[in-house]
Amino acid sequence: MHFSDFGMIAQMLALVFTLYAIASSVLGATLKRPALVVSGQRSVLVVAALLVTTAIALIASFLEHDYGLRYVAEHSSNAMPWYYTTAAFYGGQEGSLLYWGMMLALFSTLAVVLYRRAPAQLMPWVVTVLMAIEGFLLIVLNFVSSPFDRLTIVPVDGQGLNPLLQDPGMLVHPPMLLMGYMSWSLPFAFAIAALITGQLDARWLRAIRRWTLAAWCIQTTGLLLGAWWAYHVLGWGGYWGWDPVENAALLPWLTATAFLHSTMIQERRGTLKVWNLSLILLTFLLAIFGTFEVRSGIIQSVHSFAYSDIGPYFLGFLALALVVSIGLFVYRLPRLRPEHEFDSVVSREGSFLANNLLLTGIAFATFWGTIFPILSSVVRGQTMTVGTAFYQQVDGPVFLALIFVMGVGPLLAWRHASRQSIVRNFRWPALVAAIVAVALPILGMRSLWAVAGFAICAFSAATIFFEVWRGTSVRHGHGESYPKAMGMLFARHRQRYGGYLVHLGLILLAVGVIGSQFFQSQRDGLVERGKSLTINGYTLTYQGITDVTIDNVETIKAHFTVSRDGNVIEDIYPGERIFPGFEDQPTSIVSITNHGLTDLYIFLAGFDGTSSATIRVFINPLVPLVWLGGLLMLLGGIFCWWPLRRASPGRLSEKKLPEKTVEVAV
Amino acid sequence: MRLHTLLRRPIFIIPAGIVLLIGVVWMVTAISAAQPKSLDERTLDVARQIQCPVCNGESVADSPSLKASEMRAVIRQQLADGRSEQQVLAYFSNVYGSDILESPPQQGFTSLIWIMPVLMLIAGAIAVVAIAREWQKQARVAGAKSEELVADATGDVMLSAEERQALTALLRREVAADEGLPLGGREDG
Repeated sequence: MHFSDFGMIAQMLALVFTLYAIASSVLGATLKRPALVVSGQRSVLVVAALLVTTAIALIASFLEHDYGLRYVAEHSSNAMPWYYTTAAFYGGQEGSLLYWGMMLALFSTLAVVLYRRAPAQLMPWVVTVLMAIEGFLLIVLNFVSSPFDRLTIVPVDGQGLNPLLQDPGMLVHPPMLLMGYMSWSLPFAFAIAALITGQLDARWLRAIRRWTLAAWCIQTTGLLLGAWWAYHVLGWGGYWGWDPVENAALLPWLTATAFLHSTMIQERRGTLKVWNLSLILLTFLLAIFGTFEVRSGIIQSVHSFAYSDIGPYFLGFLALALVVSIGLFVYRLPRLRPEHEFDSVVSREGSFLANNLLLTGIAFATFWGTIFPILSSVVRGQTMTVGTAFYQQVDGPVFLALIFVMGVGPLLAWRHASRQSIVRNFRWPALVAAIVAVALPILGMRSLWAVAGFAICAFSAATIFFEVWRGTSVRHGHGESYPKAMGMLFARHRQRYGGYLVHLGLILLAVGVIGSQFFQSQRDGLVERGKSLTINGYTLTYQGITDVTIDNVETIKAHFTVSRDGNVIEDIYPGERIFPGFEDQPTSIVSITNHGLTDLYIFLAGFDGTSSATIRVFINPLVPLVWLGGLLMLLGGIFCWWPLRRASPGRLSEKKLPEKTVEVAV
Repeated sequence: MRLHTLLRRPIFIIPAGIVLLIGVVWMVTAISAAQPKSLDERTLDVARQIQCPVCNGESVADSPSLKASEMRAVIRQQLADGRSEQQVLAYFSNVYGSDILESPPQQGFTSLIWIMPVLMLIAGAIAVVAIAREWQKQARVAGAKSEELVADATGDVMLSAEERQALTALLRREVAADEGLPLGGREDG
């Protein structure tokens, strides 16, 4: 008896319980039998337990090197350290599907436990939708792409894991991204449940508010880790290549971000019901589309190692989800008549509308560029590539407009912003932006696009600082010291100021992107020993090369000294690693060192013994800000998500008063 | 303080002056920036537009492969020999087929890729403005109705000055208490 046998049995049982959960939830809801509903919820817990068992069985098979399992033989080898052997669990398609199924079951369990107080009619349908997704995954896992297939001839050693994946970034990036994809199933399930039951008020939205924030944080982490991994491993000097697979991961993030903003209007003002529903349905469908695209290999991508034959199943599932979503949506449209209340375009609501327009605009352009090669091959029979230029030229300006709106929006009052308040709130930020717009060209910046970008970033950052300063000084006026006033301001209004942190993070990230986009320099060069290559004042002198083999992994490191103005400032060692079994596929060790806010990025392209080395050198200005900004976005997201103490109810200020009155009073 | 009043009074003069200043500085920059690009920059510009033939979805500028490196060398050589960017691109297009060019040419079917997002954005903007207008109209009608109702019920739409003051004071106290602030602080804010 192998571990894998337990896994296989547990995996099959999980499918049985999943189908039972669906049946009993549907029957319980339609026949109004609470006992059946509870039974369905309990079987969700059973499914989760079974899938955790399955995953443990697979990991155990990996750790005992059970090469009789095809999946283990194809994704691990004796030479790999234990942590990569464990991580190989999700290194291939079957395992990542299993990981996905397990996470979904765990999330569903959380949903059952957390949402006891959610509207009772919704829950059985939420469970039904979640288990329907789970059922799809389990059918694929059990019958199409099982990690527990056995080989007739057991190999002595495995083939090992793709060397690109043997990297710390890869230990965490795929699970985070998959978890991010999966976490949108819960909002999707609530939306579908709301559509089925017709309970279309704001309650379902409120129920999933914090969940969507958590999902957003997870997805943001996944994207950042992916960018970080690409920057540190792939050796092309960039962190985002507008590759189809990267786009697929970005799409749900964009629509989810739009959703997080537009729900605020619905919660406050009761409008945009239809729009919010469509956004959340779209987010989940895009997540599924992403998986389909990666797995089907219909589009050329650097991630093509994930290619497989389960694409059609995902396409079928996507089509089914699409049809169900649209069908229910159209069916319920008569009930979705919103209470239209809108006073002025120049208001917080107006800025949220602009935000949504721009975010969905970026999402559409990105989606369009991603699928255009398919369209082209269908219509013209000719394949084509959509390069980064398209995305930069289309998404870039829209993104800048988004940052501008981001600065303007939070300082506009709800309903209607008066002219005086606009002048009062924006004159200083506008002045800051003007100073930047004049100073940068005088200081020698030649690209006006970059100047405009920096000026807009300065404007939006200034509005945030201005707002924080204003809040702090009001509290200070009530007798609090400045640091305490600022601390209290953040602690008391987590959502609002957490949001500002996210915005500030995005601005930093944008500054980093603009910097590396417009001011990157690069040079290729063959450097002989003792000779040097100079770029932007950095002189790199080739000193020689070392070749060490430890635990079958061969590590080659070229030695360069970096000097500036004649002084040696550091030694760097760009190189490559060769894993056993992948001799023709060395992975690079990129040397990245920070010099202030500039990265010196060196990739060893080739070498000829110790006599010469070919390197690619990139000077990447402001890239550290990308990571810093990303981190700040994440912290801001977590800050928003963190549990908030409720203010005591029944007060005048909580009743529906015109916002202007509150503004005067505070 | 003088700057303060200055900024407030001539509400158009100062912004107009600033915009003019920016305009002048940008003009000068745009003219002076029209210097010829370096060979490195030109090589990179061309390389970005060519797809690496041995990789998946990477441009010749981005790809770390040896083939891409050789192609960059060819581009650099041809540019150094006095060929234009277009001629170099045409050369690669002849050798490898037109698929190798990265950014789709802005003509025929492929121009759709550029047109659609712009069209969608414009259509979206028009839709948003139209919907907002419509809602505004409805809100105004509804608002007028409710004001009439209130007027009917109380005989007066507006609160009296005293009522208003009392309400504001109450609200301020409650907000201050919610914020954990001591009472009786500064009045404005």
